[in-house]
Amino acid sequence: MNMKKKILQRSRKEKSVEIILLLCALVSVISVLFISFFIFQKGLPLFRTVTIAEFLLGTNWSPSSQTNPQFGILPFIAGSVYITLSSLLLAVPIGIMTAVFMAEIASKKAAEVMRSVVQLLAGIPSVIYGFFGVIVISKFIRETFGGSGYSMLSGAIILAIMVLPTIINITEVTLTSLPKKIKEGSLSLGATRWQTILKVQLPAAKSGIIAGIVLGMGRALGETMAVLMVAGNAPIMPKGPLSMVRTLTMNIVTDMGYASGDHMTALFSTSIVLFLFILILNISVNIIKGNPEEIQ
Amino acid sequence: MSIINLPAIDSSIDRLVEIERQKSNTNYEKAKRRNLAANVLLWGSAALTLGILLYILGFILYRGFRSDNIIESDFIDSSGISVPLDWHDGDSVLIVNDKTRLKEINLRDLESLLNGKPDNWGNINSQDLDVLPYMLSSAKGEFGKNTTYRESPSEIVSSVASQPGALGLIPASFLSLTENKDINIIPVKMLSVGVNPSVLEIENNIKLRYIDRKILRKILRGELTNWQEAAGRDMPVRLVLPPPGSFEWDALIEIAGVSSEELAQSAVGTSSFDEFYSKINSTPGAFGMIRNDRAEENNIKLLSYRYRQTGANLQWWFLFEEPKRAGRVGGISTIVLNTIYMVLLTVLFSTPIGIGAAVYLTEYAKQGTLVKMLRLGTETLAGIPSIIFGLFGFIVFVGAMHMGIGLLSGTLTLTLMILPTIIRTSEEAIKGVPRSFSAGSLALGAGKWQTIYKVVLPAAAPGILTGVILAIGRAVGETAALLFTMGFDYRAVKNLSTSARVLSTHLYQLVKEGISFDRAFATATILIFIVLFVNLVSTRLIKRKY
Repeated sequence: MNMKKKILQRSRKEKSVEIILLLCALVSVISVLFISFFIFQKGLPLFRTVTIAEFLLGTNWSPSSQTNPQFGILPFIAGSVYITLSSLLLAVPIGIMTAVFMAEIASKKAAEVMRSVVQLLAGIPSVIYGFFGVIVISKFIRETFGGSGYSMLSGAIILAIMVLPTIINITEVTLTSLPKKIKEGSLSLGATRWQTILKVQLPAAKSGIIAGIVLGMGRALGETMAVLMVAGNAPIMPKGPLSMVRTLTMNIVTDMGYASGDHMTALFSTSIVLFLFILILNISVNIIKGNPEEIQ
Repeated sequence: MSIINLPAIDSSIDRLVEIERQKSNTNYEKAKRRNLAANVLLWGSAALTLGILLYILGFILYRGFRSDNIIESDFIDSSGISVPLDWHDGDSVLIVNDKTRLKEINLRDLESLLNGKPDNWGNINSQDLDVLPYMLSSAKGEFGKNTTYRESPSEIVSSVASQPGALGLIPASFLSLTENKDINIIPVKMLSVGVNPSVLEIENNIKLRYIDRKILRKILRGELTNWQEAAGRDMPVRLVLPPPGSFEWDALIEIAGVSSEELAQSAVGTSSFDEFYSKINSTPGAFGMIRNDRAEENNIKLLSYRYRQTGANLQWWFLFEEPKRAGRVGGISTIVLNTIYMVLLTVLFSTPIGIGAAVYLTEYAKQGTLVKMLRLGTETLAGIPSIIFGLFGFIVFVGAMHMGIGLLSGTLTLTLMILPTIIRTSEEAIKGVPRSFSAGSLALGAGKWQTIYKVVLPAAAPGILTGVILAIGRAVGETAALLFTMGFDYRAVKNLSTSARVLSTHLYQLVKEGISFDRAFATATILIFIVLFVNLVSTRLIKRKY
């Protein structure tokens, strides 16, 4: 009798523990749902006054105008896309080559050192990158190319440094987790080490590398502080690498402090665009990682 | 005679072999070259990555510990210990209490301190101290109302020695008689570069903006004869010398670094100060080193002087002094304290949830849609940009839940942000615990939760701790999510709804408002140390685990 009671008690306890743990596990899903819900709820009402096309394709951002407020965010979309792509243009080659170095060339010790280097680079707060950008990179751009130094190029350089760890990490992990036999097979057929890396290992690691690049893209797109501090933050259509740009994230953070009414709503609409961008990138990472090409 | 010409065949075979060998040689050479080029590229990229890290860290740490600034001011960087001040007969010496951080001061700042405006050291040396001037009673009535007058120099010395923030002027002759550890003698910068107005006129869009020590020396030695060479207009330089034997004269000789005979040939000598000032004003292209406080009354135009100022930057006091006036004055003690509160609260919120989620995912959940959904949720959460977390916190915690901008809203936002890190590392750690552990426990009759709580989690503790530490690193560096959830109040938090400035937001404010780059570097250095510490500890823990 007593035993039975004890067992019953225990199983009830086990059950409640399981429910509590499930709740813990649900926190992240619920947060994602909440975040999406609230951002859409706050941002969508804008489209009662402005059409989606006007919002996405308009080039005029004067949200606080009394007479004729305009909510065109094309310059910010363009700014985000340009700055992200140019940062990847800088970071991808260096990142992949560094990862190849770590996986294939470096001694165990050197690879270890490089791993801590990458970890540290990833750990440096974005506001410090921004500060460094203000002091060093903007100054360099100003002295080399003229202008204020606060430009898309400065932002792209800082972002390139920031996404470097993501690309290196994932490429390196993919390369080292490739089956040994594909490398040995290639070498035993007489291919040189370089040929093996270029023609066999990198193609085999393609999906992982692309996943890394896409993740890096997500980081660059979502980055706020560093670009806010160095990219100039002018709400105009970017004209070239030395032009000041405002990205989607910068637009949100700049006006947030004082916006109200439709202006505030427009900031949430901006964050919907950013959120969708990020979501698409995340989903593509999952798809890419989900179907790694079969290597036999 | 044989039909087949063997030697001929032999030689042609030889030739063929030779050709083949050459071919394979060139192929080999090509491959070798390619490998070399590839190696250079790979090593180069790795070196670049390493170089970037070292440059960023080195630069910030260097400037964090050493201030190194180019300064443009009215005053020449050379200063004198015993200086002729109008308020004392003979030369005077400035003494301050040794709790006042001051290496030198310029005449204008000294005058304003003595006049009681400002009555706080903040503007002068960023220290939150009241200014307490002491003067000899012979100067009674000439200064501000908070100036205290004393009968004798020794009384001034003892007053200054006993109060932080006190300063006093004593006759230079008295200095040798006094020895007090609690006072410091402060050099005073008195001299400026005075020029004839013609020097500063714009010509062909060129205007002389400043000179530096190198140019100043060249002018004194007569090695620079036209203002063009100093990036000014086309006009001869005419050095006007102060009356020999004066304070200005001695300083000039010292800066020139040569004897008086070796000064510029074309220099115009003067025998009195009236002559000196009128020569500067009447001679086109004239240049003279004058006392700053005499410039205005003699109508002399000043030229900016540019110099490099180096010194210690981050020191212990910066960590332990309270910030005042938005961080312009004092240190960052309350900001460090706020950061610690923030980290503790964030860990308190996120660790149980994160570990719970990880336990559920590894030990309880059956593989299927639910787990897939949970994983996807965690991954998506990890990918959301911090600014969107900030927005969410702003709408939900600050707005909808009426917590206001403050510590609680900020930490809850951070909790959501770092949750994926903790879940993922805890999952890995739990998975790394050998099955035999839990199997043994279960076989002994322990319940499932009992086994997890008493056996699995302790075994996974180092891995979980690594995740928590990494999460702390992320939380400490986060800025964007805190801008609209935690606020910028730099005082110490009193309760959960007090707005709180932390290291990262403080650094952002210092840079954005252009308050002080030295302070920004010092704050960044502390952040870097936290990041380094987090990395060191987490790698140590990972190593110990395996």
